[in-house]
Amino acid sequence: MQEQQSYWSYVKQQFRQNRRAVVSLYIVIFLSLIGFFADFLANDKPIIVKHQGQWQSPIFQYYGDLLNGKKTPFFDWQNAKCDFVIRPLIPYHPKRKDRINRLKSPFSSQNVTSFRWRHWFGVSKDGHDIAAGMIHGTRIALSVGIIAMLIAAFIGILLGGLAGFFGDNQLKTSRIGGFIYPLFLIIAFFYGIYVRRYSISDASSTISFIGQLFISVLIIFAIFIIGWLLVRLFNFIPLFAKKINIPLDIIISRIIEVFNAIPTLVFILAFVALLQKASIFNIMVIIGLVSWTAIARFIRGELLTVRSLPYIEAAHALGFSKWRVMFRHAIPNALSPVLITLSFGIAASILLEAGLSFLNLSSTPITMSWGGILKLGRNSPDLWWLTLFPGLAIFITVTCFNLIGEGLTDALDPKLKK
Amino acid sequence: MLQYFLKRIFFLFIPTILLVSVLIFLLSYSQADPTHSICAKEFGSLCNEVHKKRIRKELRMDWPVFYFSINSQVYPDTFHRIVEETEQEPLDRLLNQYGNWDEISAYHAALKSYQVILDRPKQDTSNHYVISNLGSKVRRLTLQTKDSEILHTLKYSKLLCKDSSQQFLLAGLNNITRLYENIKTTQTPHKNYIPAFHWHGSKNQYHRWLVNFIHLDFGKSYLSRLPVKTEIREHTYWTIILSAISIILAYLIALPLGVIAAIKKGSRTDKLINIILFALFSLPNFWLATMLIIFGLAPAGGLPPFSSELTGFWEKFFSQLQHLLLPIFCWTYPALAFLSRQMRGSMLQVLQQDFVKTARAKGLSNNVIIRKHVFRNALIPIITMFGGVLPRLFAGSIILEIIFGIPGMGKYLFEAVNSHDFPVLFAIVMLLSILTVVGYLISDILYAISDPRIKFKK
Repeated sequence: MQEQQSYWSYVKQQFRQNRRAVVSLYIVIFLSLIGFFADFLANDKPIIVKHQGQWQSPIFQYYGDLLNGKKTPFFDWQNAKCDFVIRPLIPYHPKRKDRINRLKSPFSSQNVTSFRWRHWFGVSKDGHDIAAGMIHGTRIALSVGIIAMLIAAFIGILLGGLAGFFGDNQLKTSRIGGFIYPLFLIIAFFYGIYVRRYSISDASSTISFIGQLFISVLIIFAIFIIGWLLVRLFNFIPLFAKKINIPLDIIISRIIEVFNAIPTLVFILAFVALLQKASIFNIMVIIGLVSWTAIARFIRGELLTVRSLPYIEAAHALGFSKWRVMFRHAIPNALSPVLITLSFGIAASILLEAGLSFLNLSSTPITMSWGGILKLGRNSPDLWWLTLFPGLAIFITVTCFNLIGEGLTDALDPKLKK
Repeated sequence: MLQYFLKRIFFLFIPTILLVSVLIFLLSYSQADPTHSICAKEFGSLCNEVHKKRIRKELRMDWPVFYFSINSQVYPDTFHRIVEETEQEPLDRLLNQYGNWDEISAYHAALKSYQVILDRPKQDTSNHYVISNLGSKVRRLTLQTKDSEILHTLKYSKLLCKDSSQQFLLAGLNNITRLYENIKTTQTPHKNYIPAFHWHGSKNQYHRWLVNFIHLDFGKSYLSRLPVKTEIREHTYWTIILSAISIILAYLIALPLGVIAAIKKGSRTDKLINIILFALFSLPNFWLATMLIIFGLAPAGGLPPFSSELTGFWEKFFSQLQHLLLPIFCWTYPALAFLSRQMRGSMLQVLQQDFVKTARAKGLSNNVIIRKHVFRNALIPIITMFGGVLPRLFAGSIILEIIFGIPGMGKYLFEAVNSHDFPVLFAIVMLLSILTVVGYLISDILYAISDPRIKFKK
């Protein structure tokens, strides 16, 4: 334990020496805060308001309605007479239009009551405030980048770990296991998902959808437990209990090759074509599904060396199960290079999301994503502010993540040890 | 080595390509029914059920999708013949609820024939209102699957008929109600929980598509109704020209840049090159392209059609050159940035090696060391990267082609995606994945050639 801590503190110390990377990290943290509090920074709803003698907080009410699956009725807070009001920094929401100011550049004279209502980053053709769009775009870009990469990391670490740790001849099961497990995989899919497809897809709200999915997962889990018990039972018969190899490495390497054989953007477009228009959630999942292979290959390569190290042998000798050795001992020691891939991957995902919004393939409201605002700017070339700001934002964010990746590469490289 | 490559082709590339094809094909199964859009395209407002039927037949939509299917016991093995989406989903839901196909199909058939009666032109127009109203009610019935909704619609349909003089309408409705009640009384929903395996043999959509693909018949585009093959051939023209130029340029500039940066590591030149390349690396090229167009540096209209007087390729090329300069620039710089950073890293790695020290100790001049020992060895990873270029050559850049209005593969692919033109999508994805896999093979070969120590044995 002591050893591991000192390794990470060493990495931290190395990373701190790279000034550009540290600055980038602070910028990214700042952007994440903007993204997280986007609703409180740019919104037409006030944060706290005393309206008709009643104290209320429209933003929190909106959150409450969202949780209950209700639609918040529109109320024109911008022109409402309030006794007391605290408005967000930018008192506009990217979805709402300003009906008076349209097509205003950041420097032109705007028809607003005070500087508080000024459109600092200009207005689009339809009256959407660009500053508000930029703030909400930060949320979209970062959440796509981070969640997509988390999905990719989950799949990549799991599959890459399995392939690298077990190789082609380490994972063994009995003959009957080799028969029952694949069969039960199909059965689990049948009862868990196929039979319940309408109960899942007809779910009225997000909560009931998650509930239905949870029931499906329970069913799948139960079926696998039955399969496992069956295998235990049949193992008493010597004929069935004979051990066979599972060539995990071959199987997983083949899957990786299939995914690598299709160019990323083409793959994503093919998915998007099936979805008509991709929601932000779809885009996260698709990017995650497409980009896990790099992480998997990294982990696999790393584990191929780790698994023959003495401390893994010691763990085996202590009688720990193979799975425990893999998840508790082998994988944590192979994780550090994944951080590099993750950071470059987030940069690439942000670019991809912007590209998809730019191509109008995402169902995110066009004024709420950087790529979407860029798209608005493309349709009207003389509105330079529609192109400049989101482009700069993409550029800065992507550069920061790339610099962090670079810094991590240097910090984690043992060759650079002084 | 030949054995190694043969092994790789048979055990790696062919299975990979087959898996890709299955993946892409099965993914498409959830697509919307293309019949309506094709029919509207071909016949315009004259499109009717007969045309649609013919198109479905042509697309073999009544065939099963794959060699086998796994579903539940309630499905007849001819369920795939019901192709109309509006028909299939309600039936599927009813089956899921009640699980008795014979009764459900009887109910469905009764609804259909009732619709035919209603649609038949009538002599007396007195009941016109009732009949048209009833028609919409029955149409709603064919889509409804919830018990309460169906009963509700049936009840109000009967009320409508009470007013009319034609008793046979009411009789028909009573018949439908009886059949519906029959479904409910004889329901066997437990059958949904019994899995069933159906084997369809080689008469399925995937097999047909694959065989055609192997014979280089990519089918007809849903959108233009032209063969996909000729369309792809037309669209590759500009893409290949642009990609080839930009890839060659990128290699020509990137290698010297990387070498200079590596030799002068830590100097001001190195830092400057590094910063510029890093910025270029993170600069989204579609943004730069839009900015260039906005600030009036590029014609946004795209490539104008060729004038007929120009004959030779070079004449054509130079007449287009002013339109091509910016696309080439935007196309080249990301690859340039990436390649020179790789080259620099690779050079630095080689410079650390022992044989460089030996060469220095031998008293070789720095120039010779760099040229003969370092550069050649540093080139190996860069050369192997060349295999990855092959698909890029063909795929082009979707966003750039759209921004600059270049009629290339990227734009073609995007249009196919937007209009759900699946034959085009399949063909392009398959060709690209074949090229990628071939690129891997070329990488392997280049690797073996550039580094004689490598012998493939496996």
